[in-house]
Amino acid sequence: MRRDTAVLLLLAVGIAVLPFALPNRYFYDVAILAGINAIVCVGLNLLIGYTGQISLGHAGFFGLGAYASAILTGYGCPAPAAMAAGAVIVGALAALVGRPILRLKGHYLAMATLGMGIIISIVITTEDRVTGGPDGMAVAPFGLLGWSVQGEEAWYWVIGASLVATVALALNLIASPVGRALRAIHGSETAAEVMGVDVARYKRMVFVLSAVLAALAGSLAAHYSGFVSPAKAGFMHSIELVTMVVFGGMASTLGAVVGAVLLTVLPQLLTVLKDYELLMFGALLMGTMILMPRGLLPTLETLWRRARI
Amino acid sequence: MAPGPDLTALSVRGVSRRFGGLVAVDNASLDVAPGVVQAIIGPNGAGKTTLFNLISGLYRPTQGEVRLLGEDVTGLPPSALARRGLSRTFQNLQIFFNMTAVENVMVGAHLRSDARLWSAIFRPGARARQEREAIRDARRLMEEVGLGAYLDADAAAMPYGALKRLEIARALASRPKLLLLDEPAAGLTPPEARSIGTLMRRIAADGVTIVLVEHNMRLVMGVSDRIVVLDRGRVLADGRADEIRANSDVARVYLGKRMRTARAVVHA
Repeated sequence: MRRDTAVLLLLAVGIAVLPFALPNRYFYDVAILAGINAIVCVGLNLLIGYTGQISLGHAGFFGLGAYASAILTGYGCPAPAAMAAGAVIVGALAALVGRPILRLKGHYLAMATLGMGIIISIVITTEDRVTGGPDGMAVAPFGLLGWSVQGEEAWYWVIGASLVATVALALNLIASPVGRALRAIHGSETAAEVMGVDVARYKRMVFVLSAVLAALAGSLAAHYSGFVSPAKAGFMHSIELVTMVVFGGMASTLGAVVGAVLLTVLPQLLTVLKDYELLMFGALLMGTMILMPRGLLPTLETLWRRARI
Repeated sequence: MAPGPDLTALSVRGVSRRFGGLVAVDNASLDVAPGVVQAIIGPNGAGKTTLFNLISGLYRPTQGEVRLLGEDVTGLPPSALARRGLSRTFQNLQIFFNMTAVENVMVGAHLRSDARLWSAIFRPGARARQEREAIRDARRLMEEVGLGAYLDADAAAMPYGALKRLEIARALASRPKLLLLDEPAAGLTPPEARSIGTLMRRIAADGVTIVLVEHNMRLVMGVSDRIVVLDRGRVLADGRADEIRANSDVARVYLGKRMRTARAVVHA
């Protein structure tokens, strides 16, 4: 069996059997949030892990997707259409912004994407007549023609299926000539360009793709929780997303999922430590990055391979 | 010489490149006939690599014109030149160290692959067959350049000499008409350098025009059909290997200091 097929199967089976271990609504809620983060991280990992381009503004795209769904369904637009519109708007914005800023490298790109994310979150906060401002706004349930997704269990399956689809898409992409071109850009932009890879175009493409995935996840999150607030579009959320990608392991799709799940679940587990929760969280992050600089999953994979030999 | 523009593989006409006050390449002209091995030599800082970067689109000329197979390609980006049949290697290796050796070569075949986003994401079945062919092609190419021992290696685990060859294999994977080799023998042992020379002749015999920058004079003299000498950004001489060897200007530029030293020693 091909490795990608195995990864996908593993994930699907894991999602299918997990509900047997989820005793109540609270656990479902955590699993759903983890799944939503995982969708964003799989997309972000295509940009950061595979193509080597940082973004500190992806929460902005997530927030725009969430608010597009919130606002448009508020005007009576069907939820799937609002979601699609949000994805198209975010895709167009990412293509437009990506053209100038993706020419930047390293720290400069980090600064530019950071600025972009901050602008998005400020606009959302200040345009309070449409967005409800800092208080946020309520979102209608995700529904179509009288049928709608209600309750944690239904949402669990929607998010689970979306995550499997996203991972399948990412695995296909990376195993293709397009994925190879993206990794080549990470390795040497000069050589990639000389080999005929239109570097600027590919960077823009993966930026747009990851932004659209973030927007779609934002729409789902908004409908699930029935509420959106500007915090979800903010800087802290962007940092959380990047941390998940790096923690799980860059250039590993399953790593991005693992990172998202662990860093969503971990703070919930650490609440037993009360006042020391954040301290412990930070220490765990530092320890992991010192001992496993390539991230959790790639390091574990290497150890596993070595142990078998 | 000077054949018509249609007959040259590469034609550089009055090309200059300034970096601030420094004129790295100064009104250089050069015609390369199809199928030949053309060397560019000159002392350090003569502008050889800058000229390479101008030809391969990494730099834009401040003035002048570059024609590839008769077509004006001045100022086109490298990816556009790749589409027109130009490929190159790098003096300082530009290997994709995050990939396997075979994948490095496969990137060279990028323009012949189906690199559309849609089929990348939604047609894994049809793609799997193309990928198998691409892998087979890449492995064959690696064997041809003498990398048979590294077919399953990660690029990051390969020694320097093998990486030099890997760059050549990657460049050949694009099936170029014109191949620029930037110091392919730098840092190699004499036997390795000789075998790179043999490889170059074989590539040229397949009809690929080669332009070569190289400091190893034994290799240059042995492998080149024609040689251009650059000095301080200008073309100092242009001719066959024996003509260049007999050229006193070239001897002065290359050996000037050493001859003075030698004379000083004799007179002492």
